[in-house]
Amino acid sequence: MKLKAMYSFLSDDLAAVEEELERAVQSEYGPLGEAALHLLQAGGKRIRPVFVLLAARFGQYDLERMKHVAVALELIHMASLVHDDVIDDADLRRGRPTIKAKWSNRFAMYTGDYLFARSLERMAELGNPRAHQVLAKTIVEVCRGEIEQIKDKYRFDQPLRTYLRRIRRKTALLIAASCQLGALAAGAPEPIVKRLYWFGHYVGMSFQITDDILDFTGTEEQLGKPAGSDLLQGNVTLPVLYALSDERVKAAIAAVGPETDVAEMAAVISAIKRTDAIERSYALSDRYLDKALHLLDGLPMNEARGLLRDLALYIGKRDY
Amino acid sequence: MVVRIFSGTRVVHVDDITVKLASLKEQIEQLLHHPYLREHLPAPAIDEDRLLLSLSMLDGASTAPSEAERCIIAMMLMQIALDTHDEVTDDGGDLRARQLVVLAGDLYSGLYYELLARSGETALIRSFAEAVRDINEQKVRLYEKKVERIESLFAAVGTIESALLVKLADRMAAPQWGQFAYSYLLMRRLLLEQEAFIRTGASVLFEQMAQIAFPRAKTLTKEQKRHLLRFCRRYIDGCREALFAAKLPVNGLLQLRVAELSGGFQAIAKKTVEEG
Repeated sequence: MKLKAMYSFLSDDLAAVEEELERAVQSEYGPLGEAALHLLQAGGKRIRPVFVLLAARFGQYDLERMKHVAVALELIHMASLVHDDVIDDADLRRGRPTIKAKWSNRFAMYTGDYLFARSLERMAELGNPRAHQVLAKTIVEVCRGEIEQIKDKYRFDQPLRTYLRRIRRKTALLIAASCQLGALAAGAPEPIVKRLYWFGHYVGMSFQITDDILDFTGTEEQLGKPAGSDLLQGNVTLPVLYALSDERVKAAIAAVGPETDVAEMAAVISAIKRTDAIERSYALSDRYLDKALHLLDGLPMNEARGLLRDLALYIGKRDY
Repeated sequence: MVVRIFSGTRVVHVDDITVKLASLKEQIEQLLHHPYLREHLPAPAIDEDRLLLSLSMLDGASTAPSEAERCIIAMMLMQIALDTHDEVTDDGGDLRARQLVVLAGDLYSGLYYELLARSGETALIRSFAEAVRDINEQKVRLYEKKVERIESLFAAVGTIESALLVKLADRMAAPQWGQFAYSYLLMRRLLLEQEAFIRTGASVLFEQMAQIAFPRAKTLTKEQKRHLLRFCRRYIDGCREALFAAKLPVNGLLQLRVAELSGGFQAIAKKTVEEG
């Protein structure tokens, strides 16, 4: 089932969020709005807004208020993507030229900072100091995680917990915050807010591990970038860490560096795929999914709970 | 506490503002400290003029000192974040350094947000966010070289330099200080650009002024250069007059800085005349 078909009961609300996003990125000065719109129109799963809206169903659901949270989180995510493309020197995202490629690095920096500001403005509309605290803490942690990622590049001797801490900061925290903030802004009871936070956290962990697997198993067409790009850039992901325990491929992986060419990388990718690294990675992703699903059992029964379950399963099993 | 500052033959009495300045600077440095970033990047510059302008706003303000200090530190963190991102270029260079510059700026802006969120300064979060939006809009206008009038160009520079301080002045219920900060920081930037243009011929601002005033000129004639310098000087004069005309309780240290800047202006103006 396609993701959008899955949450069809949210489609009107998501359309409203989409309209709000378009409004939010408009700029008095054309090129900036144009760049932000370029990114917005490239699509994306809008997973964070979906989690906000679903989590809010466990409290007093008010779309007008929820829109602010959903838009703020998606804008923060977009801002980080624009800057990530400068960091990764990436020319393509979702098959379209990145802002840094279409305009320039400097322009991408301004666009990211602009989106960050727009996000905070949206969040301010909510008038909830605790929501600001949650988002602020998340942003700082995400940044620290990204710095860690640079620090750990091509470090093939890093322990598993380093990888897990990194993906927690890089991905899981923002998804956890989406769930937490949706529930918080809707005034859901504290135990439910906490449960949803951890649900988001585990789903986020599973999501990132799946993403890291797809970097090896996906095609360039599916990924919108060449397979193995993460490893080529020195990002030591879970399949790599597992494959390193196989003596037959360890040396080939450890030899990967900034100078490795595409042909050499293709051989390394094939070698990794011949080990049990992909299966083991899926197994860990499943463990996080199970934890997430288990947390759902403690939530009140409603349509949102069923959809959170479907979404979690989709995220863990997706193939693009 | 009274600190005496000697500047040439002049003696200026300055109250404990220098101590406050040093204390704020230290707090900011601590917040910005990140071992890995420090290992690979130079420590970010902390603009003492902005700190001094911020502290000057506090004289007579009803805001509690600790609250006001938090607002100042947050404003400085955001300014440093924006300044850090200005260092990102398309010139190639060391990839890891560029990556870390991007992330350092992101981290600093996150820290600004965290500081204000923790203290419940939600109105100021919105206010500073508006300033960051305006600043980036103006930066893009400048970067894209799409400004059509020199007056708009200078106004854009003024916004880029002072928007955060203007919002801070509003928060301190001292909007007149916002105007002062605008004139001060615009004058400082114009002086720097003017100096760069005179010394090296390379100034982003003068390049754009030239494009607006002489769109067909491939290289500027002496007379065209003089015309641009005159234009810039008129603006600097305007800023200086606004600073001297401001009916504000300007502390000794700030008075000294204004005088230094004006002196800088006079020295540069003299040099320009000499060079013809």
